Amino acid sequence: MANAELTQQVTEPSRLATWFWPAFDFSRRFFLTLASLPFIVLPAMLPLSSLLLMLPAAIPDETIITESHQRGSAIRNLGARLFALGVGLASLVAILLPSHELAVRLGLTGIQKWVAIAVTAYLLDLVILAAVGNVPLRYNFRNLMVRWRITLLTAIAFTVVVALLTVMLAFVVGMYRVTEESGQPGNILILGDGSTDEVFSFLAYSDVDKIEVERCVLDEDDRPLAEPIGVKTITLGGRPRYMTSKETYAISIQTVPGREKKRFVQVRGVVEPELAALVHDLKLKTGVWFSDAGVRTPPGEKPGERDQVEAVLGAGVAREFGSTVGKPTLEVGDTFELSDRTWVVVGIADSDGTTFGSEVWAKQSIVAKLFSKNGYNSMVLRIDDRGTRAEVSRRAAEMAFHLRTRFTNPKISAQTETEYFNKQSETNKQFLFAIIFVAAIMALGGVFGVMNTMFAAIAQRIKDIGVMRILGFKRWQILVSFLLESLAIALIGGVLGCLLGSLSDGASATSSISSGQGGGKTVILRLSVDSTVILTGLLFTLVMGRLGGLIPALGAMRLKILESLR
Amino acid sequence: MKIVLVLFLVLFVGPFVLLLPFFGMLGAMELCARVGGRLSESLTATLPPKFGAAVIAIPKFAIIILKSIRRNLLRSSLSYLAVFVMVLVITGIWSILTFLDAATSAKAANFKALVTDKFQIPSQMPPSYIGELTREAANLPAGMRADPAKDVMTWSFVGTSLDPDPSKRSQENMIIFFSMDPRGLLNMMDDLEQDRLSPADAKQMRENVAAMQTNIKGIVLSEEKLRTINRKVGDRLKVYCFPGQYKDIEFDVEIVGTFPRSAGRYDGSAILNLEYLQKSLDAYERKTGKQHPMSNRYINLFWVRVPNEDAMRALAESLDKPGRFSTPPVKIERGSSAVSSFLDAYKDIIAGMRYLLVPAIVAVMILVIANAISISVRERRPEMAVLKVLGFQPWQVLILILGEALIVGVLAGGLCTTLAYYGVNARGGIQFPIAFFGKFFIPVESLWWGPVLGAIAAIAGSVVPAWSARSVRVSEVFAKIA
Repeated sequence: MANAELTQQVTEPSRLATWFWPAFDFSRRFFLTLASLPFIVLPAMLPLSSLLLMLPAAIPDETIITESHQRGSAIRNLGARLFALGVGLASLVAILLPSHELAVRLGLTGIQKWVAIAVTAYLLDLVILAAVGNVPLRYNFRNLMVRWRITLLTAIAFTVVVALLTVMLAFVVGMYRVTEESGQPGNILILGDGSTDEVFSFLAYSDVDKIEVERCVLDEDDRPLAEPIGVKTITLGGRPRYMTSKETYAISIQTVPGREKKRFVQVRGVVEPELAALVHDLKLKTGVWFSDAGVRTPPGEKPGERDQVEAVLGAGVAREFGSTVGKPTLEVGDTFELSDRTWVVVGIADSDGTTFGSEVWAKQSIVAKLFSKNGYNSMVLRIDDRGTRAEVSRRAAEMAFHLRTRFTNPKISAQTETEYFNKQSETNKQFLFAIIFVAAIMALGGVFGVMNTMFAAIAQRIKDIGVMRILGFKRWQILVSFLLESLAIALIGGVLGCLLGSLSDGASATSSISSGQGGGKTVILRLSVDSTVILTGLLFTLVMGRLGGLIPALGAMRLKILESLR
Repeated sequence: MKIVLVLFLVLFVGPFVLLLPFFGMLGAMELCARVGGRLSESLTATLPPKFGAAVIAIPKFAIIILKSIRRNLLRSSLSYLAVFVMVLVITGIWSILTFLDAATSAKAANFKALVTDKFQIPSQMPPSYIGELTREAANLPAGMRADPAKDVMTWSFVGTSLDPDPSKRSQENMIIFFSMDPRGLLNMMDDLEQDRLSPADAKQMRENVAAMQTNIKGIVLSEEKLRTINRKVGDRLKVYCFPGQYKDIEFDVEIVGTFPRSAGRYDGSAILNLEYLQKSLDAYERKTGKQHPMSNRYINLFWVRVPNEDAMRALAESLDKPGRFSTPPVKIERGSSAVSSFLDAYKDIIAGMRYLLVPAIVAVMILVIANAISISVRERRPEMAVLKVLGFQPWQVLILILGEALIVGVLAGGLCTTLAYYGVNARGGIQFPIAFFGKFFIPVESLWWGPVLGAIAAIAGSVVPAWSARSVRVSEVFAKIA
């Protein structure tokens, strides 16, 4: 009996240990792996060849390039570390230089350039490793084919993530295009004092004439300019004219035809449409500009009774109006209701991709009357625009500064159009941030998926790894081999994702831009899948593939021959 | 420095924080199953044999499922993390969509109608409209009429800055006021009505209103706004109106209170007494000898609570009568319709979130689970064969696999939304400026979205591999092994 009790006492803890030990042991190892993750994640972004060459600098006891290592004196070890670091950095430079050269030769700038450099460096790195490393590529690819279901599932996850990223980025690029292409470098936007948005701005009719004759003779530091800056003059209709556009802007509420729903329509009244079009660099796609009267009498009606307001529609708003009456777009001659009046389309502006694409243009006097405005909201003036874009921008900035600080009768708010639209891109930044956040989290899902796949692939092929080591493959070749496998899955999915996402190119979407200080504009934009979007998709794919594949590949590399064959 | 801290939290602390509850829940479930097993064993003697066998089988079955999950904890953890992060994104998106849906859907109770300029925004109506519109609403037939004392409210939006220089305007010095009669705060403001607040919050609001009525220069701000402008209750400050709006008008105000913390939707908001705005405009006229340009158009919105849609229609008819409310003409609509019009500019973004982003994330989630379960089934075919030899029915094998996926999915979804509900809301919600909404909070309903979403993804992802496990042929598997 005593023996039985003793046995019971001994066996109870051991049963408990049987339950908890594996979980505890695993948790310990798993948490250690997680804790080492940051140290792996950041170096994992390096080209693999550089990383392999640099690794002995960080972990000299881990043999990677060679099969064994010899412990020497502290100085010798330090020398070996520095040597590894130097060689790694040299290889990094050797990979980045041609990538940079390629980006420069392609004429890429800004973010596009850096994305291109990163993608080229990664691809170049893969080619070098595949060529120099004598990696058993056929073995890896055959394995992908054998496990095609798992490969496919993982690749599809990548496809979905990258396709979504492509569409979301295409949307943001479309928004940036709107803000970039709406402004002319030589244009200055004048608003009422302290106004940041057209809708809250007021300029008296009598004030604007003083502005167009103003000349700037001093620079921002009050030094005389070599040549005074003034408003550009042109000959229009046989007489010299200042190149300015005086505008009344209103946001009207329209009941959507056939529905209870209401929508906002941006209406811009311009005094002389031809002159305004020249200032804004806007052309007509079809039709004509509205007449001097700004209204037309429908056939069979008496003049003045049921006159229709003549309007030129932006291409986007024409599509939007058309979609609600069952047409792809409104055309010249079509009518619509707005602000208790019937409006007739006399022209469609070629304004896709600019804020004007979302506007209805009409005669200023009519718009002012309809919306009870007794002044202008804004005025746009074009300065002398001879010279390069940079020179024109600089002169426009000088003139805007002059009008903002030295012109006080009345005090006005003046800024270059490019500056104004840059400020309007605040919303773009917020959307971009949201997209990066969502994409990063989705990518984490993809990374965990590919990790699962690769851990399983390695677990199934432990014996293969042992055999490969016996056949003479080095540890780093095993690492590269498995990493290439995960990158192949990622690339298949990622490239498909980019292709799928590219289908959204040119699609029309509605959004809003604003400076974040109230106001804002509704814009109808075109999604744009440009080379930056594709390159970003590819970079995203490569990074996901590397992050997902590196830890399992490191695990495969660290397997001992005997252990793996056991 | 902040980036380093965030990176540290995300990379070091994040996975621990996310995985510990998962492991804890798995351990607790297994413990419960084992205790349940012991209890059921002692109970079976008193039960009919068939029923007793079933009672014993359930906890044992649960133990087998939980053991299978912890056999490859790495895979289970990776699948859990993948589902967790995806559910997190969906919860965020759904929280935004749910709020917008609620804001744009008509309410049968507490029916508030909005009177604004008929043809343009911003709506700018003369102050005389307050009295006229109130009279119209009060003179509706019995059963439809509104109480002028508590069923009407006007809003005038006043943009101000702590810095007189417009070029130095920033989020840190800008205060956008709702200028209104303070009484409206107690009866008409959504989510601030006395019957919706806790007794303490309701008292706080009553005190705010009393302070604003006693001191017309008193303002109420959200706590977040106070932090942003670095001021406290009791501080006096001078604010300068945006020259583009109320040119040359400035207010000397005193912070008399804050919104209750529970009124999170008013983060960033501020209330100014309408009487003070009116007096400031009058003072401008006395000082300059001319009317301020805004003095006859500073009422932006007029809210009226009516009992139902019929009352709103009756009011609309009286407002449309010729010769009345013509400068400018006005329209009346449900508050939700007005919000809907503002959101029209974002319709494609909202549609993209609803019909593209969410389904795609669910698809990725299903794929990740399908991937993990497929690998697991593939590796455990001999085990399935042994189970069958031991007498397990195919449907039991199917349930084993589905159960594994279901536990991981439900735990991931449930823990994710619980963390999101408490964590994100405590951090002040999701910042996503859309129309005039800047912040969104995770609704309490998310506590069931998560487990359900995880369960759906788990079942959808594991049904095919589970079916394949169910169909394992014992002879084939053993022949292969042999």
